[in-house]
Amino acid sequence: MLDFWIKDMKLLWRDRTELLVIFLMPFILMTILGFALKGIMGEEAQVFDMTVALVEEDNQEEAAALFVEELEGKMLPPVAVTAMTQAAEQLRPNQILQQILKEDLDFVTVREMDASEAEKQLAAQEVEAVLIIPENFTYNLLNHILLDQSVERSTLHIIKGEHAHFDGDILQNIIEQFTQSMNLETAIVKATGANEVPKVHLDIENIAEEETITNRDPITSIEYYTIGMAVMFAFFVASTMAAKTYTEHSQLVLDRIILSGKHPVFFLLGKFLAVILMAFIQILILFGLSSLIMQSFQPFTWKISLTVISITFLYAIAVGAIGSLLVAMTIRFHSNSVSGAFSGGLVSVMALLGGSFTPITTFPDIIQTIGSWTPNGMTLRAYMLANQGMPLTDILPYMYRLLIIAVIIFIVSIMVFPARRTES
Amino acid sequence: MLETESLRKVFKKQVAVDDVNLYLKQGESVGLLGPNGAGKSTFISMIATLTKPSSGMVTWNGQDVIKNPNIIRPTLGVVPQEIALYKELSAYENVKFFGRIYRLKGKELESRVQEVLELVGLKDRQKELVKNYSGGMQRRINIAVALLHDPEIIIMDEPTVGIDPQSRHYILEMVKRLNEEKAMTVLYTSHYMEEVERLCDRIYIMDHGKVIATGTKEELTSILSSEETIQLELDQPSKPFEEALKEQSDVLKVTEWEKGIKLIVAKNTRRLAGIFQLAEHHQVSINSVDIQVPTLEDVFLHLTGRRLRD
Repeated sequence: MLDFWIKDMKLLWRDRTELLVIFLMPFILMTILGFALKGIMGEEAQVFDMTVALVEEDNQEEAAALFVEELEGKMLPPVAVTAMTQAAEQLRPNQILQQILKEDLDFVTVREMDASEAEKQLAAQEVEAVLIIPENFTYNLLNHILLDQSVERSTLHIIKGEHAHFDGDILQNIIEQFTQSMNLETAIVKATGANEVPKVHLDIENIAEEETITNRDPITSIEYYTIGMAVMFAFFVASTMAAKTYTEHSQLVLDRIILSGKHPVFFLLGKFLAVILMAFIQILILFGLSSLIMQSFQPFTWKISLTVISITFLYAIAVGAIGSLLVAMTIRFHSNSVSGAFSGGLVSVMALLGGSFTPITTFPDIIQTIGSWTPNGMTLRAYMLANQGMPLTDILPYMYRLLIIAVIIFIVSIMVFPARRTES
Repeated sequence: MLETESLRKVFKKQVAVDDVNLYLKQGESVGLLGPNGAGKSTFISMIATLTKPSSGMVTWNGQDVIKNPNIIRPTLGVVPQEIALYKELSAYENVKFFGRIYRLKGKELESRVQEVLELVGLKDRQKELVKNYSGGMQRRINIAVALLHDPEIIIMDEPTVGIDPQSRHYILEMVKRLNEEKAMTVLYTSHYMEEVERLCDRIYIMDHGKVIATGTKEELTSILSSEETIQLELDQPSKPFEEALKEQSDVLKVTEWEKGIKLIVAKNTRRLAGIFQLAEHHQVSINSVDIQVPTLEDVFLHLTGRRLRD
């Protein structure tokens, strides 16, 4: 298989005309489109914002009243009962939490609603996460803090939207900090013997720091079209390989391979690997040139770069699979019209649907949905998220989807590839 | 022994090969002679296991090749009519690549590569890209690749088409050496009768998918043993003269050639005086007369009424 791979790499490398199309054209187009459509990207600063649905199942007043009522039945000194009653009236963990969310964190918008409405809005992507304050939250917490009774603990429940993992992570961070701070302050109050209300402090700066990772400069038109052209022109590596295969097939080179007793599937695997490597190099060169010459994708970070390389590798595999399918069809149908139709028509359609020419948010929903399922479309989104410094958890769904599509296409290509004879 | 029995190939409704029986003994050099479109390449493709026959048998030492192509593939070296090479690679890279897929490795591979490059006379120019070679040189590399794995049988499909006389001579000499010195079995197809005459022990003449005659060169030309060919070179063509010749009772066939007329006549009929009289009558000048021994070309003409290169 290595022999086939080396041979195909040499053949691609020595075809100067094709090399120019594969390497130079995307850079030229990226430059033209990037400058010509500079205004289209809305390159003004974007503000990070998240909306949280708050489902409150807890009743603070009833919980406090119930706690005070139960105090009287306990065998406690009157002084302690009085102090605890006062503390219970002042201590409202639920209220503290809501105040933090609503007032202290200006990037969080809280909308109160019931559970079913919250579920609907989360599904409709109108909110990024749901925070559920469970029944008896205040009552259990009062018992825990003031009486040190090991009653059942109520846990705040967070549901993260599939579309906004990062936002969900920030909310979770806030809640964890709130819980830790509450526990710590309670422990201090108890240790000092003071019957005071624990004071909750959240490390707002730390949360804000996390939030600022999305505050990289918004994507520029040059960056957008670098990505757009990269995902589009990678397809031409696949079609070039199929066109070369037609020449090999018509010159009966494949017959020699069949006669050698080598399984012809190695021929296909060689093409698959060559397309992967060439597409990978092509995309990285384009990103490199864009970064060096156009000063795009700044500031450079290793984390983002590694994510981009991973996405590129997966996309190169997907393009390799497409190349493999085109090669198999070219041989199956003894025709170069397969690669011609792909490079002359289908690539443009997929590029348009995937957002290579213009952001697909301007398209109708149905087109956006179709576009998001094209390999180039999902890769473009993954690159955009990576460039914005989004965590891997937000990018992984696109990468998994890309890998699955690549595997399916490759399996189909093996099924289409005629393995024994060239004629029947 | 390689043998075909009633081998037939039909493409849609077109019969390309029609019930061909052929055998090839070890060490033999057999020619398959026929005009373009006679079905030679299709026939070769079937015995090389690259095209599935519509019906019939191909056996190698008694074993069914159609059911199990791998029994014959390692013993075959096939030289297709097309230049089945990577033209963007050098001769060395091409030969080495195909050597590797024939599972040759290391020193053995390198030595075989140099051996076949020397055999085809291109060892000194092995680093040049094939696309920069002349047609004849490309055909020689095409042959070199087929010889890499030292096959028992070499099947050559019109290996000299469209090349210069020097390369053609080189290839014919090389095939002769392979057959005589290395006892390689050769199946050589061509529409050049002089190549087949020069190289082959036995000849099959094929036309319209059928074998129309078979035998040694002598056996085939003996078909015309009672006839002789008179070739007349005329100063200008003359239809009336040609028609008059056709009406002569002992003139069996009259055809045109580029400088005049060819007649097949019954042997020893002493027709020359009559021919000159007719020429004078039709005011035709005869520049030269050549009485020829029958060739395979004449045999083909006799059998089909057409020339090999029509």
